Amino acid sequence: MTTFNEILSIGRSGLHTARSMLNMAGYNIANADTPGFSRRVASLVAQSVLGMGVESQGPTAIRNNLLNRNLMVSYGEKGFHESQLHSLSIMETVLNDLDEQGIISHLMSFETSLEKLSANPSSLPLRQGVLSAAQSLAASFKATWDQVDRTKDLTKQHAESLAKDINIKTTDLAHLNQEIRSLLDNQQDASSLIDQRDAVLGELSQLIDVNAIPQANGTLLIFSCGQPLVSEENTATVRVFEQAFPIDPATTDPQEGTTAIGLEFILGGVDPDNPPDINGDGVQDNVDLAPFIKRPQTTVGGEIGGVLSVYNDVLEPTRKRIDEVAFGYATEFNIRHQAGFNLDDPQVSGFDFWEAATTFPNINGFAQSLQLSADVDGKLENIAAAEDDGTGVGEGPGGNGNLTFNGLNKLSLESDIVKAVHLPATATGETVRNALEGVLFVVAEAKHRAQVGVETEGSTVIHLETLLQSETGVSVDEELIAMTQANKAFEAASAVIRQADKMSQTLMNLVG
Amino acid sequence: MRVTNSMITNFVKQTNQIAKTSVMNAVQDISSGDAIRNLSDNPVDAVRIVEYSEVINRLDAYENNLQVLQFDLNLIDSIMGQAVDILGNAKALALASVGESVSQTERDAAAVSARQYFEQLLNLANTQVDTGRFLFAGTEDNAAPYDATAPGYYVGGTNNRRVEITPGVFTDATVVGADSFGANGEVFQPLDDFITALQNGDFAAIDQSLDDLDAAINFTLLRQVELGERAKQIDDMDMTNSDLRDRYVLQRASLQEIDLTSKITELRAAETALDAIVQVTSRLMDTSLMSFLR
Repeated sequence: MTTFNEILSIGRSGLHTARSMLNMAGYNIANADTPGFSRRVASLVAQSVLGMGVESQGPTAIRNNLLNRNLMVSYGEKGFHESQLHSLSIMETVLNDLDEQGIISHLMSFETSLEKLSANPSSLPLRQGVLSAAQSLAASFKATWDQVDRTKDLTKQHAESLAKDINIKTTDLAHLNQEIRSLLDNQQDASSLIDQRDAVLGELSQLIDVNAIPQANGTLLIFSCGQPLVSEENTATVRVFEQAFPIDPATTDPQEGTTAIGLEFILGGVDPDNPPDINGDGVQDNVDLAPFIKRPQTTVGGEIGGVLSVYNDVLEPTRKRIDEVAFGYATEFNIRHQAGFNLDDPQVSGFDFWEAATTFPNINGFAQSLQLSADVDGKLENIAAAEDDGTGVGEGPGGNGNLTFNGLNKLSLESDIVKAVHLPATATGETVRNALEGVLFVVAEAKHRAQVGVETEGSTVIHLETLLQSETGVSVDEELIAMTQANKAFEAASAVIRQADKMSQTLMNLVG
Repeated sequence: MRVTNSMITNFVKQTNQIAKTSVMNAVQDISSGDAIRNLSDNPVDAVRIVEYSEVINRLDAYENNLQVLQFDLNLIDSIMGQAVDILGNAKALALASVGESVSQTERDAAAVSARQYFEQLLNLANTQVDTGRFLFAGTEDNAAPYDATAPGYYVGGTNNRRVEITPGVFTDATVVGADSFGANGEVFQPLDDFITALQNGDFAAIDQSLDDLDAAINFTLLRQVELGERAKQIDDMDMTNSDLRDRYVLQRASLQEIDLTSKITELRAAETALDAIVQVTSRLMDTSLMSFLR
């Protein structure tokens, strides 16, 4: 038989439940715009025992791990392309010959000045024109090389900065892992911390490609490039390293003559900037990090992967190629110039046009230091326009054979004079035109690919975020309906209590 | 599919951003006039544009050579014409000096005039242009090619300088003595001999001078015609180069420049789309149950 206390208890459970529902709706509405927030829902369970009414269980956060994992992958892909755009934009501006300010344009101007001189080789103003054009060409090589080098430095600094960000995020994730596990062990609600951890994980996945594996104790095991990044409250430290590839005459690896940057993982919780005090004497000990360092063999993803890729695949090969073009051109030009004769009486030959103080293949930085030789700088008469006519004396000061028929004025584009440093000196070279246009194309195509990648992955990210939002996000209209519903339930439960109270009063009046 | 508030906000932001980006891109294209501003806009076409620029640049260099040649050949044609006139005057003088009825005094006066003709001819043969370059000296154009005291009178170069006027086509950029005033006295010797004959009163030699001066005039006329033919070839090549350059410029423009009509249409469409999106999305953001529930 049901007592009045039981009826009151039922009404009270209805009031509590309605209040919980209102509370949850209000909580959801308040966090409708909180990034990464998953809406909370509670389930109502009818008590099987009469007199206990209803109970709300939860709140439970609505999540979709599959969508989350796909989103992390897309964040990483988008970050990979996005991080490349800045460096590639600079390179594109530096190499842009569409505005006729690049190396090719200066090379053509130099060629034109030589062509004009071929029509009047004795003309001092035209000779001055040649030297001025040559100085502009050298300045263009220098400026381009300097800008590529600066961009490389900035890109490497960017990679180091991203590595620091990654380390900060992994440390945050490790702390959150620890706190979540602690709450769950004490049977407490860890939903907010899990939301925070998901948000940090999303940010991390943009920086580097990660794979997160949920553990039974509520923590996440996070891998990247096959290496453990976060395990419970332990983290690996990521660091950028630089590696030089010296030229080996026995091999033909295109990486020879370049430097590359990569990412290494320092495992075991060892912080390379803060070594541990192993023997407890209060002094940090030098730890041999070698056993703890892992260098992934797979391509690194995310923003840091994009930055590493642009450094290794675009910037450094471009720097190398510009040096090869400058060296090949200057060397061959000098060989032909030495064979020609100047304006003196008697005419003299054997002058270098360009300063060539280094030897193949150690030509790193040649483009940056390209300049006129002391033989011709300020000495207009020493530009060797005339060709040896075979008698040891030139055509005369009015001769132009060394320009035209020995092709000094066509050397820029048509001769196979650009040799790669990683190939033997006897290997066939490439024309200057092909070499420079190849550089333009590599940079242009890399940037184009990055832009397309950002657009494509951006669309994918938007699509996945929309799907995820649809499932886990807060609809204010839905919560308003839930609030109204809770309000009605509260009124109904109040009515139950009032009626029970009336009935007990009636009973009391009967015996009173 | 559930529609949440964040979805609505994000949708409004994204669609507005996309519409504004379309407008911005169209405005940038129209203001710059370029379809390809950066290498990455279209890498393949960008490299082709650079290649076309290389060709146009080279054609401009040939154009410079052609202009120098045209200037020189026009001047040479005028000079050769003057030379023919001078030789004609000398022949007329010779005609007037033939015969025993002409007194020695008259022959002496004629010799003075003939000497003046000789000096005029020598000056013409040693004409210099711009930076002191001698026109009729071949590659040795830094010194006067004709010397009245030298054997054969010609002391200039025997080789011509050659320049490229179109890809792979070279032509002589200078004129040597053999192609102008003679390398072995073809023009100056008859006049010199005439002066000597007048001074010596040698009737037979004066008579011979008529034929020799005729030969000199013919020699000069023939050289003038040959040089005129060369000038014509240069003019023809100039026109060919010009046409070729125009074609390459058009090709480059077709890749690099925008079609203004279609771009303006594109801008109008983008602006209309932006207006529509702003109105629709603002309505979307206003609609909520909050307005109805009390």
